[in-house]
Amino acid sequence: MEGKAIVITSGKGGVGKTTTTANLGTALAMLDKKVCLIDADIGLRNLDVVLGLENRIVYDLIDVVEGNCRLEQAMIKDKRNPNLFLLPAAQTRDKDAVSEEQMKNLINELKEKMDYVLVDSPAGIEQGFRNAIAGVDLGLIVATPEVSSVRDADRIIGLLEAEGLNDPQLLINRLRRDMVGRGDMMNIDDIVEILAVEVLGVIPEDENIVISTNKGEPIVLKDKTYSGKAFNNIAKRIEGQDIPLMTIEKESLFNKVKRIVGLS
Amino acid sequence: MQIINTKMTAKGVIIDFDWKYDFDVIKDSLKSHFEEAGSFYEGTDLFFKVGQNELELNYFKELFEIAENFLSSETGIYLVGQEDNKESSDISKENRPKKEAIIEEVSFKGDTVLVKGTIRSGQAVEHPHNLVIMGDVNPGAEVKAGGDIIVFGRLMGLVHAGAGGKKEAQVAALRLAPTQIRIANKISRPPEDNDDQIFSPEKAFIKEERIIVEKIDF
Repeated sequence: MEGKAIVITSGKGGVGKTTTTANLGTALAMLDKKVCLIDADIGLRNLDVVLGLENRIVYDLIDVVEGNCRLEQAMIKDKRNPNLFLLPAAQTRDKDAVSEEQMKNLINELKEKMDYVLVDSPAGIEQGFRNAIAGVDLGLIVATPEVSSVRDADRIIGLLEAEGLNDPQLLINRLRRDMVGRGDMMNIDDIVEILAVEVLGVIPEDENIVISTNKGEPIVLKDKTYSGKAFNNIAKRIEGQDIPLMTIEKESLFNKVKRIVGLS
Repeated sequence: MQIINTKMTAKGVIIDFDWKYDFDVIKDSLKSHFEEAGSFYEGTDLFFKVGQNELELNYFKELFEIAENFLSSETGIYLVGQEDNKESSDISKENRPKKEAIIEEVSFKGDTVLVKGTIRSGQAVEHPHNLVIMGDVNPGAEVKAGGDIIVFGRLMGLVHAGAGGKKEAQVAALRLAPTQIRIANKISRPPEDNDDQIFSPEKAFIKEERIIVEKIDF
């Protein structure tokens, strides 16, 4: 088996890298794919918390690269989906505790066992980012419709291309239909015009995300929510299925009622 | 590891010796260390780490004399980490702490260390013997000791008592809600749906090969 390694990165912090990693990983696992998530944010780990697996950590990524344990011992099986695994970051160490070479070897080892390896990158463009992109096949950029986020995403695309990671894909997060409708927020076209990359998906702003993150339960488990559905669609697109982007325009009251009662 | 290693804490400077070297070599390198340091140690306290060695006290007497030659009388010199319990010394022999212990304020009382303040996410406190923490241990923090661990506060992070294999080790806290609890070679985590906010002191220990948690009766 030769899996695909994808880094989820953004440059800017707080745009939803970890949430995206947790949800795409869970969604891909629900499509019966074997998935391993790697938290590359050493020293500021979060992915375990978002997945509700914090209390199961015994060994972490640093233990693996330092040879304190075998890779399998550090991989935590998700409590809901047996196809999903997490390789947590160390919390009491820093980004320099692991090298790009070690990450590359680790990802190659995992790719032999998994269909997908998703690497949750830390914010920034320093060593942590360098480690996160080492050995991956595809860059998935998360950006919110804000000038600062788009600017950072542009920088990241340049850095990825310099590393030979061409054609990164874009995930636009926290889009607010009402604000786009009023012209108060950048729309998808504005962002694509600047970044000139393929849009893999659009996630609407959704307060359910906050609830699901705090509970440690990915939103994709609730397909009824708009954002959960969006993540599930993105997972299917990664799998090569042709799913059109969900319409983000402000829906009419009639359509809204139809959606809520489940007619459309 | 070098012949002598120094570590800064808020309370002073800890000096650790590598006892693999000949004692004369250690003495010489301590001398040259003080020569280089100049007035660096003015006003700070020095802690000599005994390590796992059962050394003759005269060895330390000699080291003290060297230090006193170079330092002003205001500098206090203390011995720390005196090992008298073979069993729990395993932690310093094999599992030599790799992480920097973050000890804001430390006072050494025999083999028990008192740490004041909140231990935050990413911080790790380790000690070969007993640990008393006056403050909270937040989620993401790690507290590890060769002996018992007592937390006068909320224990919410990862805790490992008896880390060298001491099964009689106990963990006690005013509120015991750790992410994960380890005693000797046993690992346990609290039930997922445990959301009660009762503020009653509890202790954890090993009974019949399992980690048991029970209320502390006064």
